[in-house]
Amino acid sequence: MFTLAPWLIWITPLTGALLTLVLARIHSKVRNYAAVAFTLAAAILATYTALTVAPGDYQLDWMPSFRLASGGSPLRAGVLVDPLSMFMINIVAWISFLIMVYSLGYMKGDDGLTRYWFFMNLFIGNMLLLVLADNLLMMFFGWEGVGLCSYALIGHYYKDQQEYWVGTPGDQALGMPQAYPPSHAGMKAFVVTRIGDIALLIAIFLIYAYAGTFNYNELASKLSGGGNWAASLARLGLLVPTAILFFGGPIGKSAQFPLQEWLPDAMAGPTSVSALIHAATMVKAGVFLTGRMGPVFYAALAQFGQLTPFFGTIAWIGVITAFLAAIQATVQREIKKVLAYSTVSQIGYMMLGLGVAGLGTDFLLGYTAGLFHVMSHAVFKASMFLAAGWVLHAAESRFMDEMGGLSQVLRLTTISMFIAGFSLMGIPPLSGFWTKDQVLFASYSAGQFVLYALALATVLLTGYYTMRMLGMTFTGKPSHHLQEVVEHGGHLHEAGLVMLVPYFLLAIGSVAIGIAFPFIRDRLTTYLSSTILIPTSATAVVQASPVPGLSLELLLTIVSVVVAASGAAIGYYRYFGGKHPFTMKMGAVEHFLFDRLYLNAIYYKIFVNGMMLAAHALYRYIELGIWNKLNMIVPQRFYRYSEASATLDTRIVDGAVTGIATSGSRLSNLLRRLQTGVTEQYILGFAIGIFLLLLYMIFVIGAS
Amino acid sequence: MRQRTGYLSFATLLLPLAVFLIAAARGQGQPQGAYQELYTWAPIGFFGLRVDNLSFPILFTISLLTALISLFSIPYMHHKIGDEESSQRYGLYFALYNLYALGMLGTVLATNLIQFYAFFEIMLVPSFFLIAEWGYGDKERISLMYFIWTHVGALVLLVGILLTGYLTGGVTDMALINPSSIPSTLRLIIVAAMCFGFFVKMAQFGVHIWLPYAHAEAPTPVSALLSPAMIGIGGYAIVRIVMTIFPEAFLTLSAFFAALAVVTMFYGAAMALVQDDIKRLLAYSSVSQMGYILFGLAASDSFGVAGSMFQYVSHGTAKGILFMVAGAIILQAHGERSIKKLGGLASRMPITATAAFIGFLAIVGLPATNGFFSEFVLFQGAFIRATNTPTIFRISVAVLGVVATALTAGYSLWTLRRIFFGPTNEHTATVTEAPLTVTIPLIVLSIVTILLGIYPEPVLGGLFNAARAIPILGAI
Repeated sequence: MFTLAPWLIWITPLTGALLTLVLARIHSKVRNYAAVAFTLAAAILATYTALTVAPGDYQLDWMPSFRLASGGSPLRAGVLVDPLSMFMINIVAWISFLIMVYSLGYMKGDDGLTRYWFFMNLFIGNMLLLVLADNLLMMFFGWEGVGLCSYALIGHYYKDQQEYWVGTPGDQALGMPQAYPPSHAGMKAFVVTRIGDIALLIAIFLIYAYAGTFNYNELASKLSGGGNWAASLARLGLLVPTAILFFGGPIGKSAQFPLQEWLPDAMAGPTSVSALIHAATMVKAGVFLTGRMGPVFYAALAQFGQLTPFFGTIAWIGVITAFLAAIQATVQREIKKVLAYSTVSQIGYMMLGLGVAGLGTDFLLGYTAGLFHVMSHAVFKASMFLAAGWVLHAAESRFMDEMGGLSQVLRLTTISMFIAGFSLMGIPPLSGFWTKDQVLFASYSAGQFVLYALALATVLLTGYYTMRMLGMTFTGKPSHHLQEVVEHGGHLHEAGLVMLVPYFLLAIGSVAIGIAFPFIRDRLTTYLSSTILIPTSATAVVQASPVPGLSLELLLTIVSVVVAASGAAIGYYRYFGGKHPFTMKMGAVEHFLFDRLYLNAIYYKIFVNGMMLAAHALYRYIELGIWNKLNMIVPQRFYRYSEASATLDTRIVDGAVTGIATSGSRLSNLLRRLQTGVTEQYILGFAIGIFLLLLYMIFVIGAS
Repeated sequence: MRQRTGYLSFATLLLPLAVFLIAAARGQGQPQGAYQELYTWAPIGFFGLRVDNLSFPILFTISLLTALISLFSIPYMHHKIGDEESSQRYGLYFALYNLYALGMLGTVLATNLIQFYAFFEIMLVPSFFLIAEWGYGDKERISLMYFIWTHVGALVLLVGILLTGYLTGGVTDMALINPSSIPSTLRLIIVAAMCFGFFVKMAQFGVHIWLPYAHAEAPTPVSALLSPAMIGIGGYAIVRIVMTIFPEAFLTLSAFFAALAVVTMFYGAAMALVQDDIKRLLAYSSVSQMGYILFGLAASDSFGVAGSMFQYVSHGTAKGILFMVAGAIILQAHGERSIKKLGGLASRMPITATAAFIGFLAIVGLPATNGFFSEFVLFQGAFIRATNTPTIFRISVAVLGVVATALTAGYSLWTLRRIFFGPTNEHTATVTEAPLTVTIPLIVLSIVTILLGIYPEPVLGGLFNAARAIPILGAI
């Protein structure tokens, strides 16, 4: 049975993207509203599908010839409707819709709007495709499509005007400049994520070589018996490496350590784009893919008792990223960079949740914790980014030290930002509190106390940097820069409704989810557990495992709330009321953090400069030094030969050439120009060939 | 007539495209979709023309490119030749151009090794004159270099061909050759000789030095044929001749070829990274891309071969686009080729910039361009080979091949950025969009690139069938 609705979910925005190019010719207003309407249609379809379409794999023929010669099923395109994909697309589509509405106001007057709408819809369409695809190949279409659109949108201001740069101008780390133009930032995002993609591709190739299929269901079902791909990989000792390489894709896409360096610079794009990248698309793709294939790898690895290396990698990378990003967020100068590092850190939590799922006995607890945190983070982070977009537009600066005291003029924005900020910190009863707490609880109950401790330290840092950002931006006296803006008649006023409503609504959403969450958690967990790929063994473990006592859960909750509140309190005392103005004169530790642990500079030194140095050296010493020299010597040898046959040349060839030349043909001019030591070789070359052919004719064919 | 001779050339070159489509349609239902015409060619055997699953994609690419690029030649050669010269100059250019197209198509169509060799040389002659006459820089010397290298390659190939004919008692018809009468050591030597000839044509590492000169200094329309259409024929010939007739011998040498291919992929990309001349950069990129083709062939399985041949198609459309883009820039920016001096062209030449974007994405192998499928399938082929006969060497080579794509992405995006993004400067501030004879071919090729990227079955399906029909190699 084939149902159109799930297909239309991702086709609609893609169609919208193409139609944008046509509609732009009619009227700019038509183009703008149509672009938003297509996203809305996708969101409605997403909800409609989740409510009415039966779970299943809705397939079409794609490439019947694409199959292993030794068997295997032909490649089919399909849309997989299951709890995980429905859960994900409803978050993606609705938040994308609100961001698109916000864009109507935020991007007004931009001269690249057709391009903007085109790539925004393409972005959303590709993200939905990525989530809905029923096989790895089709998923990869969306995966790379998302990367492409982020490249184009981060580099939206491709003319690289100074005001769109990211980073503090003049700031250097290890002699490497730390401020980048948008077109550079876009390229960086693409290339860095591409490195992760290479690992992912290698894993996909290895899996397909044995499984003969990309389809998730078939991959899950081919884990036993004769066609067990995991057993074939395990026999070569490649199962764990394959799983970890697979995770390389999410590391790049979701900006996890050590490939996180592209994300802070991705702030060069318009703020609405940042919101889309951080809340709904791109970086969530990595978490989703880990969630999608996690259960499959769980079942595959469990057969051979190799769960720990893979899930341990995920958990450790997650927690290290969470901690490192949070600590860097505490020293940032640009408001968007605080949010960027915060996203990296929060995604670390999600990865931690997915990782500890495979380490403990209760797979579902960690698994759902990671996914729930995707939901709550999407809501509050979208709200924060959109609000920040207005803040920096109103203040005409991206630096927090050029803001200050904005709560007096941007009242509603301030309220919205505080609500979302509290959710980020994990203050009850906001949504961020519940989901982050479940991640912490899952790591503790999996017996991973070091992971738990690091995650708890991150909670402290989160409280601190969030309060710092809120304090520097909204409290205290208006900065010198702001006073100038007011004097020059700047628009220091509240955002228009088209922008205000989306982020305020999202802030309220964060409250609503927070209040409802304790009541719907169990139902959501049951819903997600029926994802067709959750291995039965894992669910069985859940039923068999002793449920940890409520008292322990309550205790851990109290601990995390106290920690978050103390972080917030320190932030409050240091930064509220403009007590600690920002300065570029920093201590060594602060500088180390501000300059991205020098990691960015080191990467540039090794991978960019090192690569260029190596390429230049190769070019100079090998290409020009060896091959090009050889290239010069060979014709010289020929040349000597032609000198020896000079007599022959002048008598016959030259004579012939002159003869033709007088007849007026242009070709002869060419020949005459060439013939200085050239034509002979030409003729000689052919002569050898013809001679060989003649020999063949006479002795082989003639003889037979 | 003057440069308008190009329209005549365009019209005549549309004919083969139509003929191949008809021939392919007629071949439907035949084994391997073959439609062939054989003429007795005493005493050598048969002079045959064959369109089948394997040759159709190649013929389609060549005829599409030659037709479109003859349109592109019109403004370009006008810029190059000017008004003063007599119209004969245009006539000579387009005559040589069509002869060049004939050489390439004949080579692909050939069913007899001698016939193949004849066309292989015919394609060399006009291209030599085109470079020598309308090229840039030290064009005589460069054209000679091009001639000597590829001709030496061709002679070694000829030795292989004649040896085959000698050892099989005079049979050179590809379909009739029975390799079992040849001792296996000699088979290896024949394969090595033939492959050497084709490697020179494909500019594999070690015998590549002629390419950056010839492709960079040829008149741009000719570069746009040399690079995407001609050199890849070496890869096609390996499948058509070497792998079909001597599959075991090729398999024996394939591990070595795979290593050579990886070196070429990395080396070409690294060289592209340090070039400042757009055309030279594209030329080195072609070296790297030929490495991809050989990489797939060296996998010696159905995925590798099908992917490689599809890579011919996708590299053809992509590099066709990119050389035309380079030509459009040279045309509009008063002959400027130095990337350093360009910048910010996206706002000045939006159509060209979009085409360049699509072209580079296809080179990088991004989904929804045909380059994705070709690279995906050929890399999958390498991994199937590596897991079928698992050795550390095969697995490392397969992994390294995928890693090389990072370099490709690096130089592609960086070039795109340096030419099209950033602020405009004194060289680019007044540039305008190229004329329709440039933009229409660009748009057509871009559309083909994307259509084949979403639904490659019409081309790739036939190639899979062709690859599976090769004994031994096709079995996995």
